[in-house]
Amino acid sequence: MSITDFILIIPFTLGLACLLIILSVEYYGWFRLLSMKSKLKLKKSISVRWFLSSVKEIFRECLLHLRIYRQNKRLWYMHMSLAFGWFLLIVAGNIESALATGKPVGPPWESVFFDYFTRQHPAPGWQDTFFKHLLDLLLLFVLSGLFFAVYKRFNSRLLGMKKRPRHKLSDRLAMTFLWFIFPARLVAEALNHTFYGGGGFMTGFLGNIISLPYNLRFLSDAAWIVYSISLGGFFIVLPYSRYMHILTEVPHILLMKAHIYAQQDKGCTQFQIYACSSCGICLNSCQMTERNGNRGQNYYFIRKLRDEEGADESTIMNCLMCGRCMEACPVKIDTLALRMNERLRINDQLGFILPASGQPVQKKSPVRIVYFGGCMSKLTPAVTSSMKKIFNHYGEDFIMADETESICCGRPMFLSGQKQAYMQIMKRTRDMILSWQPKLIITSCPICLDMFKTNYFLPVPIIHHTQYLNSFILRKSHAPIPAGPKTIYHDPCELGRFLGIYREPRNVLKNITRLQNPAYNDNKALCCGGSLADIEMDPSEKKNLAVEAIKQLVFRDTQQLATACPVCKINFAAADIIPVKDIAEIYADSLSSSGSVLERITDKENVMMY
Amino acid sequence: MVDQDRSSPAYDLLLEKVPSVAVCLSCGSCTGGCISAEMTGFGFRNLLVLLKSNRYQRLANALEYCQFCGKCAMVCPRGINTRKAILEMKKYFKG
Repeated sequence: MSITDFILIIPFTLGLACLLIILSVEYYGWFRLLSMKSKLKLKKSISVRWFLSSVKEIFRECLLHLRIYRQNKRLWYMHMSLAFGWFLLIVAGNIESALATGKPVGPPWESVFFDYFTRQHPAPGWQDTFFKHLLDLLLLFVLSGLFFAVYKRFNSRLLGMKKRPRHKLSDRLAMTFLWFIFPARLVAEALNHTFYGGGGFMTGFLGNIISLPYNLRFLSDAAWIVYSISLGGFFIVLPYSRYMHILTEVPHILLMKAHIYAQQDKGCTQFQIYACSSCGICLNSCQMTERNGNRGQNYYFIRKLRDEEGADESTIMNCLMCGRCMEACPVKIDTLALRMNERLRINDQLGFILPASGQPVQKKSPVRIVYFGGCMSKLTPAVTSSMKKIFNHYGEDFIMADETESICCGRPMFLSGQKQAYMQIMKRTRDMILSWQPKLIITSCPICLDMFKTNYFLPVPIIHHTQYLNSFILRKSHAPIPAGPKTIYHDPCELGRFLGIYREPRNVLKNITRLQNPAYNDNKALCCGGSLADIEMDPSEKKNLAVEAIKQLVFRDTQQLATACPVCKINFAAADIIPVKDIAEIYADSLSSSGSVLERITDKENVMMY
Repeated sequence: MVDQDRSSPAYDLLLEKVPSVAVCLSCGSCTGGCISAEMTGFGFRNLLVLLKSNRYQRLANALEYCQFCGKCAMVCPRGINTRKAILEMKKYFKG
């Protein structure tokens, strides 16, 4: 091995060794941080099926980036060509090297600098020509992706990105090394062919164009060394930059497939933080991006979590927690759990005394339906009075649980990170609801519904009022009204994205109004801005978000905005653009205009009697 | 007795973090919408009065009754971020 060979392989090998050592130490540390429950879960999950489904997911998401494909084709091509193209380059290079040397496994530099080491004596027969053309094709594929990546720095909108993320210094350094790798390889291979002949359709062609005297052949060596330095530099900076995701996505997927979640698990949290690719797609989906500058969005939140000083309080608390970023995330980072972990860390020890906690809950006479309007319904009494009217209309045995006593489900407290206080509220509310020994619990607040379903462990079915109303539509107890007002339905975050209730409210509205289809619905639905999760934003900023959301939702001829959440109703009504009604109100109004089938039959019987 | 001449260091600190508390009119909308006020008699405006008049011990007790539902912020005609103010006060008195 000559001195030039030695100088060539040192930067690459050193970088690779550093990367492997740092990764091993980091991953071992994070694995140890996994909770005992998670470790047991992982141990139980290890199976051929788990392994195969993880490999499939790794291939689909780490290499092909199919989730980005569903969102934006150009952005997908950029990510996919860089990841999949580089992967194929490595694989094809290794196969070429293994076939030429006859050894399936060799030193890593042998395949990386294969053209350099074999320039004096190329492989015989078809192999050399085939692999040169194949590798040129793959290099062209990667370079096309790189072209888009560079272009994105100047005009991100072309690739469907509203706003370009602002990367920190180590990210930029790693990105510079990465951007150098492929052009350096192109130049190195082209010069190789200038002085030593051969080459594929691209590097060979470029090599032929570059006409240099033979005594300048050291330029070829220099280009190979630049390639090696770019690779080595990238490997050394990688663990301290966002490119850590390239390798960390693999353990993240393995944990995800073992159903291990980041919620209150330090180890899984670390894996997720570093599996985040900082691609900025979450910035695109975040409604605060346009209005709020670079403050609480998950891109900046996770970036701060990676830093030693961690995320500051303002960043932690400045998030609507609407879940739009989680839906859009191509890596499936549980952004909400990461944020909740931080909120619990800073606020869980604050004191709390439940008002009137000294009075025990009295046992009451049994009722079939307990209706829980939620504390927000105190500000929207039209919803509760409409529900009362509906219950009376259908002759239900019901009780308005929080009509006399004001109680909260505890979710606002939980979202602020005060879990211990939340537990007290939960216990009181749960006891109060169950004191009526109900057969069915109905709530018109999706925030309460989410809490009841996920945390309360109630032994009774819990449904949203839209599901209850839909049951009458399905049973044909309510005659359809074909000429109702033109209505747009807004999916509340908790009801739609968190609980998956999309169909029922639409079905109710379809029968009692002329329902229009907005651009943002189902899991892409916009947040009203009034989310109780954001503690940093002033009410005026929340109102601005509501205005923006309404502008994007309604059409010129829309007559009313329907929602199924009291918070959305309050916030949209504050924007004062279009009349806002809850589905219960629209349904109750339709009862007085149409009358139920049952009511009409009874009326007919009365007429016949007389 | 309320001493208006005496400055309140905790209030000054709160003003830095939540400047909007300065525009409170004490209109009582917050108290009207508060679910804890019905049982404890404390609303956000009471908390601010206690803070301004240095009655910190009483304030620290009153703060513990807040259920953090945020209706006070929703009804506030002056757009005060009451939840942040309450959280900051709770942290101040805990520390």
